Amino acid sequence: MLTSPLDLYPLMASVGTFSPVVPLPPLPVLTSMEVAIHSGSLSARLADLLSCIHSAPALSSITFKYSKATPVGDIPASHLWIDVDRWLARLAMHVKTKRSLSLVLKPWPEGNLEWEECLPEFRKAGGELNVITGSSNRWS
Amino acid sequence: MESLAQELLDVIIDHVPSPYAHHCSLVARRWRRRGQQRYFSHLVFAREIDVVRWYTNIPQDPDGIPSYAQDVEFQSIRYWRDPTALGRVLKCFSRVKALTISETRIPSSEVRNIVSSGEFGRELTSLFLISPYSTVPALMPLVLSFPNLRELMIDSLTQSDPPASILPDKTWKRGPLQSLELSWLWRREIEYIALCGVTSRRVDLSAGDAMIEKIIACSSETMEELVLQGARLFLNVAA
Repeated sequence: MLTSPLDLYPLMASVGTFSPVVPLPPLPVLTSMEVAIHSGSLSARLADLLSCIHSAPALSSITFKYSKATPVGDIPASHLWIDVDRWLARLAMHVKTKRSLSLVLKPWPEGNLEWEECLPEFRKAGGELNVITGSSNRWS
Repeated sequence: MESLAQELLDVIIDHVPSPYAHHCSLVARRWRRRGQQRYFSHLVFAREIDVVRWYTNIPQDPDGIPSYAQDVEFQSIRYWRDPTALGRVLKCFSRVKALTISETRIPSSEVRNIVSSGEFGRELTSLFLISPYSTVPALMPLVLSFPNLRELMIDSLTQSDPPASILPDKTWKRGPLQSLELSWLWRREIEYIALCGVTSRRVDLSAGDAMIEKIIACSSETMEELVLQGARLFLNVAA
C-alpha cells in the first residue's frame, strides 16, 4: 500500500527521531547560505545540521530568515543559539576570502534583544553582523 | 500591414495583452504561426480528457503546434483511465523546456516507455515533481534520462513499499544541476537520490527531512549556494 508522507506526519511526530548528523566533507566552493527558520524558533535538528558543516573556506555570507510569526523573546539566549554562535565563530575563523564572513539578519521584532549580544563568539572571531531593516528578510 | 516585415509583425503579436493573445492566430495567415506559438507555449492539463483530446486531435507535426509548447503542466490528475495517456501526450512535446507534474500520478510503466522511446525531454531543462504519486526508484530513471536538465524540484513523493533499498540501475554521469530542491521526502527516498549521485550548484533542502546531509555530501564539490528551510512541525517539538 502506497502512502502519502503528508498523511503520516502525525505518526512521524510521535517518532520524532533522526540519526545523529555525521560531519560533512569540506564544501570548498560554497559561497552563500540561507537559513529559513520556522516560527522564529531554531530547532535542534537545524542546529545539528549547521554544526556538521566544518569547512567552507569560500563562504562569505549567511542569511537568516524567519517567518511572520513573532520569535520567542528568549530564543537568542537558548543553548541552540549558543551552539550556532560557536559554529559561526568556527566558520568565521577559517574563511579564506578577502572579506570576513557576513551574517545577514533582521532585528528581533520585540524586546530589547540585540544580535550583537547574542552572537559574541562570532563577533570575536571577526564575523560581520549586517542587521537589516524592512521586510526584505522576511520569508513568508 | 501587408508591407510589414514578418519580424515586425511577430514583435507586435508578442506585445498583444495576454487575454487577447489567443485571437492573434485568427487574424490573418501571417499572424497564425506566431499567434499559435504564443498561445501554445504554456499548456496546463487538469483532466485526462484534455490529455486525450490533445494527442487525438492535434496533428503530430514535429514542426507544428506540439513543438510550440515550451512549458507544460499536469495538475491534479490523480488517476488515469488509460495509463498510457501521459506517455502518449508527452511524446508529442519534443521541444518542451519545463515540465511540471503536480498532484498527478506518473504510472511506472509509462516512465519506462518514455525513457526507452527517447522522444521526449531532449531539450528539457526544468523538471518540477510535486506529489506525483510515485516513488523515487520509479521516477529516477526518468530524471536521469534528460540530458540537458538544469533545475530539479521534488516535493512530497510517495513512500516506496517495499523499501527502496535496492541500488539504482543508473547514476548521475554528468555535470551538476544549476538547482536541486527537495522537500517533504522520506528518509529512504532521500538516500536513494543520494545513491544516484545527483549533484548541483544550488541545493535547497528542508531540514525537516531526514538524511539530507547525504544530499549535501553528494554536492560537496559543486555546491555554491545552500538553502536550508527550517524544521517544521514535529521537529520544533523535538527541540
